[in-house]
Amino acid sequence: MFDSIIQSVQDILTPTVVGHIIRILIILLAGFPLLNLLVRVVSKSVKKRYSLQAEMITKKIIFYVGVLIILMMVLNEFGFRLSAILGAAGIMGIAIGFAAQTSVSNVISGIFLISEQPFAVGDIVQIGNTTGIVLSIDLLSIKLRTFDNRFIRIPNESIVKNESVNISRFPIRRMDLDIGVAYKEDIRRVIGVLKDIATKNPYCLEEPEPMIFLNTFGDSALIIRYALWFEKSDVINLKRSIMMDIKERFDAEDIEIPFPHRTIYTGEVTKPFPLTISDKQANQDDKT
Amino acid sequence: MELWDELKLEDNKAYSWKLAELRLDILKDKNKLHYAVSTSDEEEQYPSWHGFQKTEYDPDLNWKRCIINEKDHLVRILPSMPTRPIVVRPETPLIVLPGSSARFFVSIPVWYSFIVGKEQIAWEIPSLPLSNTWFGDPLSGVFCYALRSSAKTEYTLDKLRKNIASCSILVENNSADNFEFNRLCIHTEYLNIYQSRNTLWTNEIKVILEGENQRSSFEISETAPKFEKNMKLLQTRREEPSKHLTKKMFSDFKFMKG
Repeated sequence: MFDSIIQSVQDILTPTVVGHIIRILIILLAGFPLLNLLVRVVSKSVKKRYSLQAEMITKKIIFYVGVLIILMMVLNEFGFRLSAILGAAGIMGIAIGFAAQTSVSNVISGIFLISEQPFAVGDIVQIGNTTGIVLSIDLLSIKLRTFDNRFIRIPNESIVKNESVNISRFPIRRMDLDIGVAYKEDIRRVIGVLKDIATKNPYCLEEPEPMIFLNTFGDSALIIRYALWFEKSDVINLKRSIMMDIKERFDAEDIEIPFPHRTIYTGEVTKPFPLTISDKQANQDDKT
Repeated sequence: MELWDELKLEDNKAYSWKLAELRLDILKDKNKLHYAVSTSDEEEQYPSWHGFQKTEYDPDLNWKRCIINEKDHLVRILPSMPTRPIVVRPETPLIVLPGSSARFFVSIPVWYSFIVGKEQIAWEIPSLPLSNTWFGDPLSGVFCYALRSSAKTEYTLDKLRKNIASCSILVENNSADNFEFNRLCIHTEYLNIYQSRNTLWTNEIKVILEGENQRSSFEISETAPKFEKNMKLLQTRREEPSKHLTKKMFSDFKFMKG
């Protein structure tokens, strides 16, 4: 029996078959290490010149293309006709293409985003009504973390098609506030007070100098534009402190911040509001 | 004992340094160093007077803790240059005519570095609060401290101010135009601090102006300035000078024509 098994194996493992097996093993044993080496070399070079996201995408593309080539070479050794496989793949590709139009558009948009670099991981961006910190820039979408800790996924296609704002791109920013003061106030004095507030605030930069000027004549107040420069990481500190400083200083300097008043009419505008004064105590005495 | 000398701390004994308008209280408890920084309430004739003394532990101060090596009993306060560059703006305009040179003196408030053991800096505090400013355009540039200076052209010893380092800046105008000095960014991280008998000094800075279309240069001297005798090196620079010093310090120099 043992002899018959050996004989069967010898019949299967002809020199041709053994040759195929050796070639497959060489393809696999040499192919994957070479592929890994290629991925490492290329991604190092991409990382130096571009961003971390570009490196990640490049690695994935090279790896999957490499695996596909190795797979095709192995299938070729097994005797599969590649033209038939490619034909079938072509038909499948058309079908998938129609079904995956949006995904393909997102992938292409992702490639544009990575090459154009309108923002990077860690930047604070505003896309539509959403503001958040970029967590990752992937092939299909970007992921944001909002300041109230929500996770938002935005498809790349919508970013490329619409306006996006990179809030933290430049090292300093300007905060524009509109301060309303009463019409009776001395504007030059108010501007002097606001200048002093800016000088004393530790988060407000001396240069570029703050811009303080009378901007418009509002319905209820004179509107002063108060534009202060700050280092980008101090946005919350400045907002918190400057609003308090303005209110406290205006109170101390007796500068009025006006607000709209409402007048109530009943029925006809010209007639006064009807009012009846009743003496509650007298009414109770009458009743008893 | 001099302000900048080493001091050996005894465990559970409080010490107090008077540093200009600041007061620094220290208490060592084995491997914990308790410290508190407060503003001095005492009125003095010279507000920048410095001194040191043993004192009682005051629990009402805003104490912080620092973990150190239990065997480290030696501590020291040294002056250091500010942690960021300084933009100096003269209080009165300064114009240097072509072919002439001008030397002026800028007083830079130092930072106090508290050193434990050999050279470990436990913390640093500014001797005077400086406001923030930006040097360069809004797209790039340097985050700096702002300093208004009288930019005196003669050095005078008027008060003993141990929290101020005097910096001499020599401007040579080799161009054909008037030079109006609006602001200068001093990269204080490249400056050493020297001590003379009376005051602190930094390295001298030399600015050679060749004109708007020529390349001007900044030089930082490698030795102590020669305005007082017996200067010794007290604190080394935070960083070695950059090769692109000219580009970093040179901004908004106005050359006036006509």
